[in-house]
Amino acid sequence: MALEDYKNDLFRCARCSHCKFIPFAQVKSWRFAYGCPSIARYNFHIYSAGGRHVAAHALLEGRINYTEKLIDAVFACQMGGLCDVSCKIVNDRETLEMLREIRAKFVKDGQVPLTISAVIEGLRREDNMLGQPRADRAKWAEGLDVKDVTVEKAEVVYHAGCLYSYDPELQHVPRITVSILKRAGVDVGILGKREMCCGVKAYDMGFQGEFLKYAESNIDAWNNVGAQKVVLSCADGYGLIKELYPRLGKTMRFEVLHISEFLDQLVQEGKLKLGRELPIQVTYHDPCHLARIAEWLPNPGKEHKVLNQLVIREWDKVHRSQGVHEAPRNLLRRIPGLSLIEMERIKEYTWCCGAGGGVKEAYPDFALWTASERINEAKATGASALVTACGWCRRNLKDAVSNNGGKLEVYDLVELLEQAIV
Amino acid sequence: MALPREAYRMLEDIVGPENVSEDEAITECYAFNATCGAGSAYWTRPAAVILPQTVEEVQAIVKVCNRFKIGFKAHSTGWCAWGNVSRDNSILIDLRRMNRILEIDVKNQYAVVEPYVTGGQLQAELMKVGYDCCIVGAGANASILAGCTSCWGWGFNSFGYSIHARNLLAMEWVTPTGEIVRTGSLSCGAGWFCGDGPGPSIRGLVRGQGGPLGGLGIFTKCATKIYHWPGPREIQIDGRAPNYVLAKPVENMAICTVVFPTWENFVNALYKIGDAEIAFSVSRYGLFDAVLSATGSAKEAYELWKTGKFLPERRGPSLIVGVRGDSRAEVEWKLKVLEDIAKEESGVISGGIADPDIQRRRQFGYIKIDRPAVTFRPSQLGSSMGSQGAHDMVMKQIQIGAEWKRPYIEKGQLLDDAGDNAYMMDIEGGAFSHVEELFHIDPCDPESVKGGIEFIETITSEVPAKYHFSLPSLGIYFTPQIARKYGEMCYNFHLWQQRIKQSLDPDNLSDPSHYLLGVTKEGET
Repeated sequence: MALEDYKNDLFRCARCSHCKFIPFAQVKSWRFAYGCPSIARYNFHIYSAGGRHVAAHALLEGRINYTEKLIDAVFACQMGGLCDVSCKIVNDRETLEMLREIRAKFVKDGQVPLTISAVIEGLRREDNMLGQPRADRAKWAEGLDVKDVTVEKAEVVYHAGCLYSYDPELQHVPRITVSILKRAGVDVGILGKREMCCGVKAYDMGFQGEFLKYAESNIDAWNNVGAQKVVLSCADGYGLIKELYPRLGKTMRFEVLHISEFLDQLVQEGKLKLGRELPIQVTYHDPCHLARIAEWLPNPGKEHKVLNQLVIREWDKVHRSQGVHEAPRNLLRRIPGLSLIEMERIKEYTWCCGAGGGVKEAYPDFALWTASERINEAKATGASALVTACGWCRRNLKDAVSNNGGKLEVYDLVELLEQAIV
Repeated sequence: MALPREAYRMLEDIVGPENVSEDEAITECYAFNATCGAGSAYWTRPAAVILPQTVEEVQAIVKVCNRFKIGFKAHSTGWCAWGNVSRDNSILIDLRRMNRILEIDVKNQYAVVEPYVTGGQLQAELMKVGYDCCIVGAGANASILAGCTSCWGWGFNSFGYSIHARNLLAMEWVTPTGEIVRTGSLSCGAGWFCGDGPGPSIRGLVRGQGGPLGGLGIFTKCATKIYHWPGPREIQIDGRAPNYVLAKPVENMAICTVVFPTWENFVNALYKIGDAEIAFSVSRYGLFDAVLSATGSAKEAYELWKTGKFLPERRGPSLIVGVRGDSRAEVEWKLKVLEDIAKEESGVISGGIADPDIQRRRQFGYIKIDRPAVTFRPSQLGSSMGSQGAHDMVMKQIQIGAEWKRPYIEKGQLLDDAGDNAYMMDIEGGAFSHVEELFHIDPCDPESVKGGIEFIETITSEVPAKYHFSLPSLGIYFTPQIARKYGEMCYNFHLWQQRIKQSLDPDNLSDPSHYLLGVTKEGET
């Protein structure tokens, strides 16, 4: 639905400020009660979901014009969707969808920060979010004995994603992942140089045309190679593929799994054994796109009224709380000697790592500030390490630790699993 | 209207350029507030928005406003339009950077908070030390300080936790002319424990029943009473949004519903429960809004409502009673007293006292107070009357409110909630309670908005006077005519309020909006 189709819902903001906090049922302290990094950092109401909705409504009504501050407020947001979870406890509005459509309108109107435009230019040129050479896409897999599914069929296609493919400090993660899968006897392959961006970060940034292009290409590619399962390490890609790809209406002859789900299955089936002791206290950071933006979101459809003024829609409301919460925790709990201590903001009300929605690229200081908040929360648990299951989260959290000179270790889930597998 | 450049530069100097803005998009967001029905959700756009962090900054801002004759309005969590500016050439002072809990004094049973501390945040910290606080009927998202100092402050648990007008102890206040005043015990360096004295109480002067709604300067800190909490130090929650419940029921606590055959029985029981002092919470939720709370979407609510099980004629007058104690024996004794009262008044107790699953759900709602905002789910909520009075009066208001609402339902302007959608909360078991007749409109439908406004105006203007109810604290300044009508009936209180306002704010800069709407000169409205 276009932004204009949401005009009534933009106007129906109750101004209750639930979008700024984690669900009040889950508030455990004063310190970690906030849920939206953007309003927590910038304070003006426009930096919250409710504020952006009002601004968008005012823009549609011609009450305001584009200003530098307005563009800034719309793009200084990780699109992590906490606002959607909290708002939907009390309201029926598609809070995050409206934020996405606001960005799409800004893109259409050419009102985009230059840094975001540059990222999209890089994507158009090289088919990845980092603007790195397309030819280097599969460098991470050099020397790794893994099938190229464009040549040889495999049951499982492993999609490394843009960041894991190009970030030299993260390239070992997909290598470890493939090794673990092979160890479990999984028939796994990769698209190699033909792997391309999933497009979902472009969607989050408001570039829906680019998303469409990559989504269609990926669905075709995965169908054509006969994949039964597509497994991703990148939570960003996983979550939005689950949510958005089905909207295209194309046949998808494969199942989409996050690596944590797949490894959890393999452990449960006895194909992997976590037997080596790891005496470490860790806390787990739920990536937004794994914990709450990871389920099929139907089009809300047209509104109609019953009981005179009760606005309802014929869709089944999605609360964005049915994401992947347990699989990574199951894996961590199975590691002998490892102790998992939870932070206050977890699962569907997790605090964002700070990297999403183009913020890492356009507002790097804000990205680091957001991650620092998470680091402080992790430290408050007493854990010595922070584990996550997304490359973008790991990158930004690690950068924040380096930036602050802290001692907290930051791991990708598979890095610990590799050490524990016997 | 743009601020004088010199004034704006002074504001920048006070808080730093990043914390003040006159950008049209930023300021427009503070003009919006769909609640409180003024015909449009867009109120007046402030000339600038500023974000102070300390009382000294607030004072400096107010002094700039006085120097340049700029209006100002304080704003905390932003729930409802009381925090919006209502006049041109005014700035909005958003207090969200003043968000600390400064002190929790267990021995003297108070907590000191700044304006942007929500009920949910304070409660979480208090429970760690065995205490709890009144969370207003608006919910855990609302500011504690705003409830104490500036607007109403009734809560579902007011039987045990009183109301914020009475929970207010010492406070720090920047007057409309920019003086910093510390009231009660704080004024003589004796701490925060007392709201009154030495000498005449300023608390009564500036707070009153409804509160000044931002019309008498800016409150920057206050102490609020806190109350014993016999439950666990940390509340464990199960489930995924929105289906949160307690992981296990609080041991010495029970929430039950008592349904009565007649309103007379309902009222008698209210008095008796108060006399017996057995509850921490006694309330009544409008049935339609109870259905909203029990479901996850408007569609689900409609499906449940369609079953007809919740129609007032099917349910009978009912109360929700919360009982708790420091031991199982205490709770059992209280429940036994409640059973006796119910029996005397032919009431039936339901609500699964012995069923842990039901208690997990029901206790959760009455501890966390996390979803009153769910009443906004259908579209927009409106409220009317907001009177406090003896239980007999309240019972009549519930019925009469429903009657007066029905014509607007028949015209299709208000949501058809069967008329009776009043919620009520007993205050301190003191033979009186607070009641509001809620209604729902769609802000996108001009006819619906018009109906809502007419309903508020009519019911506020006519009903309390006609039936000799107590003052309707919601909407009393909805129009100048309503304000004068009730003022003249009650010792010209509106003129006294006006005199207080004039003496504290001779240039009328602290935006009176809902506080003294339309009252301009003594004797004239």
